[in-house]
Amino acid sequence: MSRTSRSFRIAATATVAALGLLATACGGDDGGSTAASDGKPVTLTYWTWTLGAKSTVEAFNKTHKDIQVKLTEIPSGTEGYSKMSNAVKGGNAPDVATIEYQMVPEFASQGNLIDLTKYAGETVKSKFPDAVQSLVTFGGRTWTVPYDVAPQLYYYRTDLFKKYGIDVPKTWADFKTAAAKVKKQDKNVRLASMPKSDSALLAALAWQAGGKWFTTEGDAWKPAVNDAPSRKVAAYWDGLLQDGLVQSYTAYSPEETKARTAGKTLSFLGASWSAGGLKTAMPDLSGKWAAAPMPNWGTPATGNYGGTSYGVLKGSEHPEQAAEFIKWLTTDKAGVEARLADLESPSSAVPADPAMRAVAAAKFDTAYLNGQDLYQLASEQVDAIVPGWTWGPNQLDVYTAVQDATAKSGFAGGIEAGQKKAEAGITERGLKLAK
Amino acid sequence: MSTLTHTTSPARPRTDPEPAAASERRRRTSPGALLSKGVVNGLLIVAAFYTLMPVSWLLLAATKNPRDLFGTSGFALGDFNLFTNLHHVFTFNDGIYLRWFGNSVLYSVIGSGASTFLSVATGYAFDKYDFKGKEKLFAAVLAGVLVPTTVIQLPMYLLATKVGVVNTYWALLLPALVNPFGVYLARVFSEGYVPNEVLEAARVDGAGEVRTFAGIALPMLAPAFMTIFLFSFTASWNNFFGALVMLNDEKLYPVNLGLFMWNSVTQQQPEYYSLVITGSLVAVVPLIVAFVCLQRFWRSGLTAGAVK
Repeated sequence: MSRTSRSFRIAATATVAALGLLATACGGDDGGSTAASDGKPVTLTYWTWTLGAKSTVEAFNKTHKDIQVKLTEIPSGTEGYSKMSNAVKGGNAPDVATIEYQMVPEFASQGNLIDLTKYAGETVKSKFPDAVQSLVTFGGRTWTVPYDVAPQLYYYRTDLFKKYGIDVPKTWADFKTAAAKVKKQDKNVRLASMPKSDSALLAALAWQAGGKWFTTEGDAWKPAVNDAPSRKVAAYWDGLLQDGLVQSYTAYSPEETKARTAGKTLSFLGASWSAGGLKTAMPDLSGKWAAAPMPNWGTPATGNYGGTSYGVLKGSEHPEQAAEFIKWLTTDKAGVEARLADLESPSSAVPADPAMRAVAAAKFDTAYLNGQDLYQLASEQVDAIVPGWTWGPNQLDVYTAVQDATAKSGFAGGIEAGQKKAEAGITERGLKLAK
Repeated sequence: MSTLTHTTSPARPRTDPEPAAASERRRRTSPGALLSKGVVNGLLIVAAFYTLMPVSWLLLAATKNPRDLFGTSGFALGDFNLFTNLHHVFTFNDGIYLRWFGNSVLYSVIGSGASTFLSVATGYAFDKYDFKGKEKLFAAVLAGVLVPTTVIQLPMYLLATKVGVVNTYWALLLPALVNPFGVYLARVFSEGYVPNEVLEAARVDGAGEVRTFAGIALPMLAPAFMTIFLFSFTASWNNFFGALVMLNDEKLYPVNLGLFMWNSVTQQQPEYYSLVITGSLVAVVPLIVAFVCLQRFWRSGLTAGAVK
């Protein structure tokens, strides 16, 4: 969409100008009619795709007389974000929306977000870990409030690791040795699958290795998708794939799950939230999975793989009340509990606010993981997230470029293409590119 | 599926009627003809395979419980669970799926019906009446055929915002009324199906223009109506982007957007997979029904004007 956005805008402006007359005649009652000053409750609109949103909103509305929230469920991913930015252009934007960390800079730099420093800056500064703060704060301003944090975790089959005589790999060198050992014993079985279709996973691995895909210098952006640590990661996985030491299924495809179910894939690179779906996808393997820290490059470190935050979209007339709702969602016990209340298998996402982790952990059934305290492990891993990572102002395009090039010429080609796309995108959007 | 059987007939080599019998005999014997027959049939088998594979996968997958869905191979049978899955689809989230389904029917049947009627009337007018700037106007209609819908989606959204119809049924029904390709088809059909002499006779007998159109031309244009209706029915049934941009209220979603929403959470909650798969199967049914019921109109419509 971004490539055609200029022609979109021109066409849109022309059409709107031509129909200005009609518009002023029909443009009805939006704007200003829901003021709080007369004692009536403020009604906020809230767009999300996150699970458990319904029970969250019900719980909030029950306990808050002065603010009422109206929920709209929208699709996630590219479609959801283009819907949001269209709504901002059209003046129909919701007050509150879920924005993943990777989309915060893109949305903020396009002017789709309201600066929340005044309303929630203090909360973000006082309640959330540093590694997470840098994801929602830049240019000295706070743009969204974090909900969950997603440290990478390594999931493996305990029974099969025993069968093949493998120890849980601590480093990426161990991982390679283990992968070779598995392949030697059974030609049809691999240690893990590394999808070529999931740029977010590659980014998390680069993050763990110490890469920084984007940094800002003043108001200029400096992309480094192909920095030295990222090149190291790309070369590592290209090597494993070339030697046939790991599989490469499409991420989240039924084939990938099938290979895990059938014991053809012994482990996978996931995040804190991955555990939530295990029980439904592989009910027969209860008690046979365990989680461990992600293998590392020598010193314990992890990347952040996913994670969501809440922002206020431009055009909202009630940023103050919206911020209050967001604070309740992210840092209030009742909010966190409500989000997990109506799910059949509550998510294993780790709240970014450390005070909320016990609340979420209480909802999570550890039986599947043989009683392992996943939240304890994940919380420790939050502290290992390498701080200072920033997502780019054209993150979605960069992802697409990386994914397309990776499919053709491996991860090394992927990050080169990503770097090119990042540089081009920043200038195209009229942002400054640091030299 | 039914389209497949249609493509077979034009794909077969046709010959002029006169030497047909002779060439028929020759074709059967000559090795070159045998080869080309083999190639054509081979291609058809590949095409059939390509078309039927996903459908049969969908059929099989809809009968499985989540365990078998991920545990068994795609074309193997698992425990028969279709009715449980259907029940789940129709009752999940207070039966929102049924509502989506009803919305899709509404958008497709009402929207396409009205749009088809307008197209046929416009095409008829373009064909039968002379007015100033007619060909220029028609050129504008043709230009409209060339504009991809995705490009005008955002302007349309901004427009709908100004008029205040965003997030209502009208947001999808109003834009659907405009169908340049339908107008073009209708004009071609009208040239082929409605002889000017008949209209003149009607006028001589004292029928007004409206009555001539409604009573005489419209019945003659029935195949045209059905053809255009089928085109726009499938287009609205599959209109995903328009619905995505225009609608915010879950209760107004058509079935494809609803399924997409479910699908987007399967990464975290794999139990949505069986909802999406079974829901998709149900969503294909109306299209199949429409094709089976309307295909004879469709077929006669496609060949209209082919022979003068």
